[in-house]
Amino acid sequence: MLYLILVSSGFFVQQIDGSPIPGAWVGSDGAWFGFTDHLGYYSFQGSEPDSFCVHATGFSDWSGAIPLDGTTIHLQETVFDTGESILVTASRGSLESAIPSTTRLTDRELSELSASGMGYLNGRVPGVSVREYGGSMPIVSVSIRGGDPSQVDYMVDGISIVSARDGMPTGIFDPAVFTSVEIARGGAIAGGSGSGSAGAVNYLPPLLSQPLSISFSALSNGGVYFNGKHSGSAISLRRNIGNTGTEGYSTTLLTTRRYRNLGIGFLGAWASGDTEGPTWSIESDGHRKQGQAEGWATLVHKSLEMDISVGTSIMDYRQTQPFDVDDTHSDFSVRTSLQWNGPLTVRGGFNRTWLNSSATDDHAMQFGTIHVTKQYNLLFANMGLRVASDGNTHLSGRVTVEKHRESFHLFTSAFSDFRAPTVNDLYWPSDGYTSGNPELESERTTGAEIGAGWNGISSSGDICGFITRSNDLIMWLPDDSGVWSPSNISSSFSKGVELSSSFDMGFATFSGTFTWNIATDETTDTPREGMLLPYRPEYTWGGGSYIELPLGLAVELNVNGMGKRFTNRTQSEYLSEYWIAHAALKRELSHSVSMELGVGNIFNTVYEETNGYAGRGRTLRMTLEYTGE
Amino acid sequence: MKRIIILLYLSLVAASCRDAVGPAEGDTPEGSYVVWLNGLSGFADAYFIQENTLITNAWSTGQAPNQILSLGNNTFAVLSSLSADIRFFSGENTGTTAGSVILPDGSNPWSFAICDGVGYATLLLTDSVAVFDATSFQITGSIPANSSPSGIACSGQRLFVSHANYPDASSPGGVSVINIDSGELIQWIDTGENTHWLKLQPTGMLHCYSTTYQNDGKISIVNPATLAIEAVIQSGGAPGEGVQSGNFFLSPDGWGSGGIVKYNESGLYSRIDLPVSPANLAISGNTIYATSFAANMIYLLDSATFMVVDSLQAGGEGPQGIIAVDPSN
Repeated sequence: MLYLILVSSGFFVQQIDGSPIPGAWVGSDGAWFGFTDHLGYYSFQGSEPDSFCVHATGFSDWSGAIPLDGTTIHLQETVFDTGESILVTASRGSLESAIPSTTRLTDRELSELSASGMGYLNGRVPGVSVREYGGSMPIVSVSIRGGDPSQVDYMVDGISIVSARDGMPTGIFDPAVFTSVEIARGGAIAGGSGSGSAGAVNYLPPLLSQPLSISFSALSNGGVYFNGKHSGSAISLRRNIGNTGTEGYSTTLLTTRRYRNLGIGFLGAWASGDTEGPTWSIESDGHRKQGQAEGWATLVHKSLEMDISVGTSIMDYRQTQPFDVDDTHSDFSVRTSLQWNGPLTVRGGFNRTWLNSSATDDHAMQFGTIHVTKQYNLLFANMGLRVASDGNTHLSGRVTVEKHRESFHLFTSAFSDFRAPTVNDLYWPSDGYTSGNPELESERTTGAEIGAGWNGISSSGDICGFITRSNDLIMWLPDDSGVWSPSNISSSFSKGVELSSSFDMGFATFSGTFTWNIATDETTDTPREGMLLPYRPEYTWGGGSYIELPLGLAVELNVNGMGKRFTNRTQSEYLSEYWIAHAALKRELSHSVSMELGVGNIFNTVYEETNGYAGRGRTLRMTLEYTGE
Repeated sequence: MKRIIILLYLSLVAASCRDAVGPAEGDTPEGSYVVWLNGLSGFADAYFIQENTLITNAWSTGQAPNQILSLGNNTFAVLSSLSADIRFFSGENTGTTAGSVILPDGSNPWSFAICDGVGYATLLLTDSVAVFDATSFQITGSIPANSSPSGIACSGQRLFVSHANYPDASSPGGVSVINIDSGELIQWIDTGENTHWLKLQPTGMLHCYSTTYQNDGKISIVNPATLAIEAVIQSGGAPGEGVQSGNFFLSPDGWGSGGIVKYNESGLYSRIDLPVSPANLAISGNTIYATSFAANMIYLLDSATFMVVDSLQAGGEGPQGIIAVDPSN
């Protein structure tokens, strides 16, 4: 009885003025049980001790007896001089407080994301559609709210890690090494790289108090995954198998440390494996290696934070069949920023990147940024200015108003953001078929959303409507000579509604999402005007349940699907709609050890996320997990 | 509340049913017409000249259509590279396919020719030529070829296969002459690197078009009987398949220097500048129809003055190959 009461209740964590503190961590004796949601609400898991600690960056820790159901804990604002900090750089952190349409994946979801790939997000996170294809070294293409995949930023703890070469991270990072992954929908995220006008994927590193946890998985397709975390560090080792049997290996290493007011961190990833081509081409023997290393240090002194980070990456692709390709790229970046936390938060930054490439030759890019952020009562606003070495100046800004009342909340946001051309866009060599465009300019995206949600004791849900328009869209199109080159002549418009809900019965939880999205090409006087953009499903959906059974058993069932997706710009070719189902049975073998048997794509449904690439067929998985105290 | 959510869900699903743009079945107007493929959209449009009627999305061609050929008797066929097929159509009605030849997946067929009811299609990525029955649409055999076979034509008992420089960049190009019956290589003719198109003209001569897109285009005139090169036109640019216009031929140079290369089989040529970039040409009466790949337009030119007299908006993207069809022939 006591257990049922605990699992269906919780408490709020707020600032002194009553503002919620999302992402506050709840734990005891160095072990962390979870964190508050975007309303600052923590739901009891049922296994908490009689007393514990609440920690949130920028606030003093709270310790005491377990709060009563529905009560509120207030945290005192402070500079990071006490307690443990989850911030590893000055500006690094969660996007949840600034972007209301943010979904955070943790624990079980993160394990599934690691085992299933980014395609796991389809139907689990509203507003997102993912294509992952290409064998053991997959190419991941994430579209948020009908935006182009190039309009998504990738961050670690709030700092962009994408390459100026192509606007994507070079490293393949295993999500399992992180504590959580946020998917923020909407542009103008303060601290972004200028490539996130549709949204961002943000990886958050593990806590210094992370207890030892080890996970080992073996898949029926031959894949083997191992990862371990402990005390701010994590490692992943994987054998990856593509859908047609290609083999690859990857590793990810992440560590963070803190010495008084100095925080340091390192994230590295290396992967090597064979690639797969589409069915409409003959087989290739492509092999790709890619790696990325990021190191950072943050010094905090009173209201000032200084951050310096360096990053390097390399990508090498070779094939001999059906023809020879030898392509190598490498980048090296230096970034530094200084932030002042006063009545306003003001951060100035500088970024310089050197790029070497067998395709685009050598280039260097540099830019300076200033971001100003202010939270005042219901209002949260940020404004950014970026000045690049080519003289181009770009502004971005976002305003969010969010009102909380008991378990309900309302929010609305508007933003304007830009996406700068990549080095590939600007300098791709002219070879008679393709050519970069040095005159290319940035594209501009504006958008707005309005939403509401509730977070009750046993249920929660959100609904959000959005519109987004992109002008001067950077799109590769053929010119008069048939040479494909990027230009700024296109525009697009996207509108949609996102729904998500969950229901917690104590012994069982049920959740579901639905997204309706119409993303059209609005380039006038062209055959594609008014046509749906390629690979933007009109709807995606998903539903899941997690049911605890006697004898320490738990069963998980998930179904997700999406509508048809057109594969060309004139809406004449498409991939059929599909849905796939997954199931898992979990058994606690002891207090700290569990075993899970799962089957992905139960019915072995034949489907395609990308034209010519079959989706993963039925796959069995066995996972052993150890979680220490 | 629950009912509202279910109703909302069903409404959204019902609203989310945009169909693919595709051809509608129906009879076509009378008289001559031009038909072109939209290379980036996977269907063909037709313009019926006497009725001044444009039918967009008239036929589904397959993915990445690359060549369209008139077969006589008001029929034509389209080869598509990505879907690896050749679809046969009748000009009498839209939206229907008379038959399809299914070529090997991933072979990237480039072009085809039909002689005496037997079809031959170059398979760019498998260094071979597929042989098929143009009546039953069945594959009947395969002929090995040198690397990167692209253009193809047949004359008598000889098959002419040209060679591109992709995917094999080391390919010397030129034209292989193959015995149709035995499949044996008879001779190789040096018509230049990346000889990507061949066309057997109504004069009986084989025109071979080569370019490496470095303003080095040339047109070689080969006598298919003697296998001798009768003339070479160093036109520069990147000349494409020529069409006959009186005693001359017109080759579009939209992929190269722009405009048109006007030449004859003696080696004389001149360049005609145009305000548009033609990808392919067709002639019906006194009008030249020029597809513009980038502008998604078909421009109508006066065949005497080469002035643009009208234009048509393509129904899809990337209009390329175009033919003129006279149903009475």
